[in-house]
Amino acid sequence: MLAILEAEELHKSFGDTAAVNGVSFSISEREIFGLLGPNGAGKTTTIRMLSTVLPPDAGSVSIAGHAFSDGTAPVRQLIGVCPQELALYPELSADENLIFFGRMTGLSRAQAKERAAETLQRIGLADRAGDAVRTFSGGMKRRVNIGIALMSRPRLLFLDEPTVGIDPQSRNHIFETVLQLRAEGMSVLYTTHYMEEADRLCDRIAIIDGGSIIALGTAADLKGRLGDPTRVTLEEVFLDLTGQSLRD
Amino acid sequence: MARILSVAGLEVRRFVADRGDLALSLILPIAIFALMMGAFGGGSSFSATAFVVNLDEGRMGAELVARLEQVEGVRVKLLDADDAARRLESASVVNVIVLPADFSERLSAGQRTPIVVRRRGSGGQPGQIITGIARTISQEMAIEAAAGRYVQRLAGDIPASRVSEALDQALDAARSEPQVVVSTEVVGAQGVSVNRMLAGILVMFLMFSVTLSARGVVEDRRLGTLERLMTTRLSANQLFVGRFVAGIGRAVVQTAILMAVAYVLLRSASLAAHVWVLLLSALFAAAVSAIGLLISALARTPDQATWAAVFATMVMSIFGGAFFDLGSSGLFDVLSRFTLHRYAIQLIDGTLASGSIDWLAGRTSLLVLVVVTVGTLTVARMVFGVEAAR
Ligand SMILES: Nc1ncnc2c1ncn2[C@@H]1O[C@H](COP(=O)(O)OP(=O)(O)OP(=O)(O)O)[C@@H](O)[C@H]1O
Ligand SMILES: [Mg+2]
Repeated sequence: MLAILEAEELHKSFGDTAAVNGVSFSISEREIFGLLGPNGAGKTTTIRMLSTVLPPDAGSVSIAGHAFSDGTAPVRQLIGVCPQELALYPELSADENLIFFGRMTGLSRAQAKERAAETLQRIGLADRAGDAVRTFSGGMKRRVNIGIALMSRPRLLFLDEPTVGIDPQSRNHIFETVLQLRAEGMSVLYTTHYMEEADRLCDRIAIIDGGSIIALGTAADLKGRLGDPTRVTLEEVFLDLTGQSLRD
Repeated sequence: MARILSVAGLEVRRFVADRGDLALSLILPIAIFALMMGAFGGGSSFSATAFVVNLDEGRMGAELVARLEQVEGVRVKLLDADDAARRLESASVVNVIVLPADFSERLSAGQRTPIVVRRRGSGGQPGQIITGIARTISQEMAIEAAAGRYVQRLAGDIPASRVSEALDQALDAARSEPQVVVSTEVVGAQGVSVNRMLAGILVMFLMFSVTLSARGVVEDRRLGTLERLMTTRLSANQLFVGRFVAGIGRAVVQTAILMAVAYVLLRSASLAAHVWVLLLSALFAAAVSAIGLLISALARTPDQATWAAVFATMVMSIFGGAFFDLGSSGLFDVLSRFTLHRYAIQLIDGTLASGSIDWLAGRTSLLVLVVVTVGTLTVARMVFGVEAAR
C-alpha cells in the first residue's frame, strides 16, 4: 500500500526533556493509525512536528511524497489538524469559525460557505450554526474543533485526542465520522488514551512512551504478544508495555 | 489578498461580537463627550433662552421681544402667566421676565417703567445675563421714545406720523449698521472648544484599539488558533498585514459611528469635513495599529501585551494634549511632540474648526503620522515571529 506519511527518526527536545526520541513510522492511504501513550509520552509533540508547526531537531518527514525539507507549503494543502486543545474563536459562531479557517486553507468564499454547511451537517451542528461557540457545550466545541480540520477535505487528518471529556453519544458520533472519512479515502492519525477507542477504530496502533515507539502493529498483533488476542484487552497490553507508574 | 482581508474581517467581526469592546469604543466616548460638554460648557459663545410673559397692552412689549430675539445666542420663549408660574414652581424654568400691562404706556410717556423678574434662587447666570440684556433694550427703547417726544416738540406743526416715520428710519439705519463693534482678544490659555474636545476623545478612544491590536497575535497563541493557522496556507506576512488592516478597519467602524453621531448632533462642520476626519482617523489608526503589532510581536502573554498597550495609551493621552492646551513652549509642548495624539488632534481639530479640508495646514502632522506608521510597521514586521515553537 502507498504511504501517505513517512516519518523517520524524529527527535525533539525542550531544554533537557527529550519529548520525542527517535520516532519512525508510516501511515498508509486510507489507514487509521493510532498513537497510544500515557501523558507526556510525546504524542502531541509528534503531531506538531508532522503537521509542520514545530520543526524537528532531527529526522525527516514526507507527506504524499513531499519532503518537509523542501518546504512545507505543499504539505499544508494536504493536511487537516484537530489539536488537542480547542483552537476556536469563542465569540464567533460555528459557521464563522468554519468559514474563516476554510478560507485560510485557500477556499473561496462561496466554497467555504458550502463546505461549512456540509461540515456542520456532518458534525451534527447544522441547527446551531449561527450561535457563538462560546455558548456551546464541551462536546459541541470538540465537534467544531474537528469540523475545522475537515474544511479543506484533507488527505491526511491529524486528530489529537478528539474525544477528551465528552459523553458516549458525542464520542460515538465522532467514531462514525472518522470511519466515514476513511471510507471516503482519508487517512487519519489518531491519538488517544482510551484503549477501547483505539481497538475499535484503528487499523494499526503504535504505543509510544518516553518519546519512543515501544510497539507497533494491529490491535490483534499487540494483544497476541500477551496471549490469546480474543481474551487479552488492549489495556492489559498497554499497562504491560508502559508499566504502572504514574506519568508526568 | 483574499486571505489578508479574511484575517482583517475576522478581527473586525470579533470586535463587533464582543459587546464589551464595542461599548468601550462607542458608548464610553459619547458619554465622556457629553460629560465634558456639561463640565466645561462646551461652546465658547453665550447661548440661552429668554422666558418672557408679555402682558403689555401696547406694542412696545412685542418690540422688546423682537429685539431680544435679534441678540446673538438668545432665543425667546413666550409664556402665559400661569404657565410661567407652573414652570417656576417645578424649577424647569428659573428666570422669567414679566412685562406689565402698562409697559408701553409708561415707557412712551417717559415714566418709570418696572419690569418684573420672577426667578428661583439666583435665576442662574444665563437668566441674569438675559435680564441685563432685556433691561438695556428697554432703556434703549425709552431713550428712543424720549427722543421722539423731543423731536415732535421741535417739529411744531409737521404731522406726528411724518416725524415718527423719519425718526424710525434714522434709528433703523443706526441699528442695522451698529456703530460699536466688539473685537475679542483672547489672552492666556484658551478654553477647550467643542471641536478640540471631539478630536481629543476620538483620538483617545482610537488609541485604545492599540490594546486590541497588541493582544491579537498573543491572544491567538493563547487560544491555540495561531498554531492552527500555521497549518493552513496563511503566511506570516499575510497574517501580519491582515492584522494591520484589521486595526484600521476597526477604527473606521468606530469613527464612522462616532462621526455620524457628531454630525447629526453637533453639525459643527460640513459632511465633507466629517468624512475627511474619518480618513484622518484611519491614518491615525494605521499608526496605532503598527504600534499594537510591535507590542504584540514583543509580548509573551496577553497580560503583558495589555499592560504595555495601556501604558502607551496613557502616556500619549496625558501628554498628547487631548483635553488641555499645551501652550506653545515649555515641557508639555516638548513631551507632546513624542505623542501621536498631538498630530492627530491638530489635524482633526483643524478640519472640524475650519469646517473644510486643508492639506497644506496639516502637512507636517500628516507626514509625521505616515512616517511613524511606516517606521513602526517595518520594525514590527522584523520582530513579528509566528513561531509557536518555544
Ligand atoms: N512547549 C513545550 N515546552 C517544554 N516542554 C514541552 C513542551 N511541549 C511538550 N513538552 C514536554 O514534552 C513531553 C511530551 O509532551 P507531549 O505534549 O508531546 O505529550 P503527550 O503524549 O501529548 O501527552 P498528553 O497525553 O498529556 O497530551 C512532556 O514531558 C512535556 O512536558
Ligand atoms: Mg497531547
